[in-house]
Amino acid sequence: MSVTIYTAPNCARCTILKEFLASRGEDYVAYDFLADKDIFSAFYREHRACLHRDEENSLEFPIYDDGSRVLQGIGEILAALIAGDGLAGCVGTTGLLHGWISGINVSACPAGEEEHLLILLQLLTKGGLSVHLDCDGRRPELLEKILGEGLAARLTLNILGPAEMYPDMADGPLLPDDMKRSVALARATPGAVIRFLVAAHGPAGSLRISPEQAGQAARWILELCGDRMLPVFIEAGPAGSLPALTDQDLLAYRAKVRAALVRAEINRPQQHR
Amino acid sequence: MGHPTIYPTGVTIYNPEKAYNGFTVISAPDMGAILLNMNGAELRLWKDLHGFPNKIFPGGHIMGSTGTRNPKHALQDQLDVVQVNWDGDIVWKFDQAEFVEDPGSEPRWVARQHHDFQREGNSVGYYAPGMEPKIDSGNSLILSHKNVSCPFISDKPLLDDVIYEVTWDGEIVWEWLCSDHVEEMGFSEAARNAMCRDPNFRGGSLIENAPAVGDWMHVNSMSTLGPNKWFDAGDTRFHPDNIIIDGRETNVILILDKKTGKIVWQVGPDYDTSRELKALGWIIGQHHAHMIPRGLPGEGNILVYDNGGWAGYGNPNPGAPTGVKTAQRDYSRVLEFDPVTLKIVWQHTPHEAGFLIPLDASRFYSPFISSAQRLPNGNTLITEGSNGRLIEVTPEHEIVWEFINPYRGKISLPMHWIYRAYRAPYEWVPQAGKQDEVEVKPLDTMSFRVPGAAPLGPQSSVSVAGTIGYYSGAGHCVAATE
Repeated sequence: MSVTIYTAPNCARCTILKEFLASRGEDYVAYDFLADKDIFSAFYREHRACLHRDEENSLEFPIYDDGSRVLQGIGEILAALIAGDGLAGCVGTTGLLHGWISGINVSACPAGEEEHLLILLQLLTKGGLSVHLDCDGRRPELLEKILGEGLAARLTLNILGPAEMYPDMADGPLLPDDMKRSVALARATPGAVIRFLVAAHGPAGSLRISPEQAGQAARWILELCGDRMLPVFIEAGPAGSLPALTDQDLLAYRAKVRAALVRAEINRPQQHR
Repeated sequence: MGHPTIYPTGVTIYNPEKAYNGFTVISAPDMGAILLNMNGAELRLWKDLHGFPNKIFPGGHIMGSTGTRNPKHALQDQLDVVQVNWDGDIVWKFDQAEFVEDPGSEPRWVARQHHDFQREGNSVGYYAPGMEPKIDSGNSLILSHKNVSCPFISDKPLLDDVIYEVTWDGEIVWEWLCSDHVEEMGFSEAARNAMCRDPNFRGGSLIENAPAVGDWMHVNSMSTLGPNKWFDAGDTRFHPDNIIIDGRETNVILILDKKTGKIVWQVGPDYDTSRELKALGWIIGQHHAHMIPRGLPGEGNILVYDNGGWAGYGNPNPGAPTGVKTAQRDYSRVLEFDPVTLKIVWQHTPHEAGFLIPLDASRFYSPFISSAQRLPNGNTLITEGSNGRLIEVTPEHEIVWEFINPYRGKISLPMHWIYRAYRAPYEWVPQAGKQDEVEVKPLDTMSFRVPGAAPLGPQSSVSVAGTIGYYSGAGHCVAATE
């Protein structure tokens, strides 16, 4: 099965992929989307439906095509090459350009895939990328190992809702000690952000916590960490099949969270150029 | 301009036939809120109730706050907004805007309120027919502070203005942050350049080790438009729920759309960009810009105390070498203008007050604080705040009531300042009972003497041969502009 990769000039992510393929002794053909624009254009026309663009409306490189599948983005490509589908649940579409990479949720790493995730993070870090890691309170032992090895430059701890909703929202239970440990790790990590991520979950994308449930989760976090001054943000995530939440909608969430964690604030994207 | 060292205080002019008779509430420096009758009797002192401002509501309720954060740690932040009854009991309180841990104080919730608030039922916080603020329910709009970072304005830490709508139970249900809309305000490159370098940066200037903050906009009034003829005629910019604010530092008065948050009407920051704005003239460091409520004479017009003084960002000039506080004028104007045509409908300036501009203009001048309230009989209650003078003037500019604040700040500002006074109808404070209304005729200041001073007039006179008398309108060192 022949492998073709499409790259961009001066692309660190593309270099990481080339070196990875070379280290495994795999043959491949590489095309630069500018220098080989006719070839790339033909490929793009055929596969545009399965390619995504980032928030700056740029195509993310590298793109990997082995004839049976097309993969895009260094995170997804390496995850697939290292672990097959093993890391599919914890490595999503990788965003954040300019030297950063995101879309990796350590808490969703399946049991038995820990070493693969570590290898992935090592390759990204060694290749010069700064990893923005997400977690949701689960797998604190793996998070601690990753942080200990310096494989995450930035950390976001997402609180999805009350613990009892985790099985439906995150495909796995959340234990109090795990969340307690995760909060402690986040607090000990410079620049880490703890946020209530109000997003749609579930197969139909229709399960989203209410302000009261956010408040319930906040009281629980307060019980675990014992610090009402814990800095936390509230942020709207993907809305799925539900109406998107506005900043004004989030005020009700903030009010309920602040009843326990008094420094809660709405995290909004930068408003100005 | 020199002011006399000795002068009468309290009520100095009162014409019961022409004044709108009622109660007046003031915030006396370092004392609390005082309710005055028309003769200046201090009927009630709500001791140490801060007023930023104090407002009287029906039932003898008074609005204010229990105090401020220590100025070492915050700039003009009120701890809370409270509604207090005649007996001094707090019947409503809002403080849950931010939780702070100020050194030397117990950690606590604070409102960070400053300059204004409004209660549902009334758009502006003063009497208008059929528009009573609710006293046992309803939402409130609270103007507060919030610390933000906004590189579009400056790299300095900023003290921003935020408006909260809070329920009777104290929950914030709507929020508007001023800096989010700075790009809509139309600042010139020169203004942005100056603002970036110095966004009214007040680090350490207030008190030793005070927090360093850029009070870039300094919003000092906030009210809803209420029902009005413009909206009735289809102009959606003037939706009754929309909010009008003004920014002292920027010379901007704007109306924001309550639903979208967008700015839908504005004057300033520059007043030389259209014929209409040039005719309106530079509004500088203004206070209390609001729409006159329905049912009052002039309803639908904008009433504002245009302080003068110094404000605005722009190109450097000799009076503002760094481009900060570029517009300057040493007298005040009270303007009532049409928000659609921008034409001045009524004004009270030094000219109407009888003072020659510019030679004697600073006799009507307060470079900060101050306000104007339209009264049901068409008069206007003006707070000339810095020297603590309240005047009620008729549409023809006759002063029919004047009050000079006798109280001088001993702890805070060493001035006789009054931030903003309000007049309320008698029926709003039934507890005070019926009031006498005794005319106070203006003293003849020419002949009035304090004990021990010699009486008016030369004790002897002699004619000088060859003198020819005086011309009216003779030339002076400085030309009068009118």
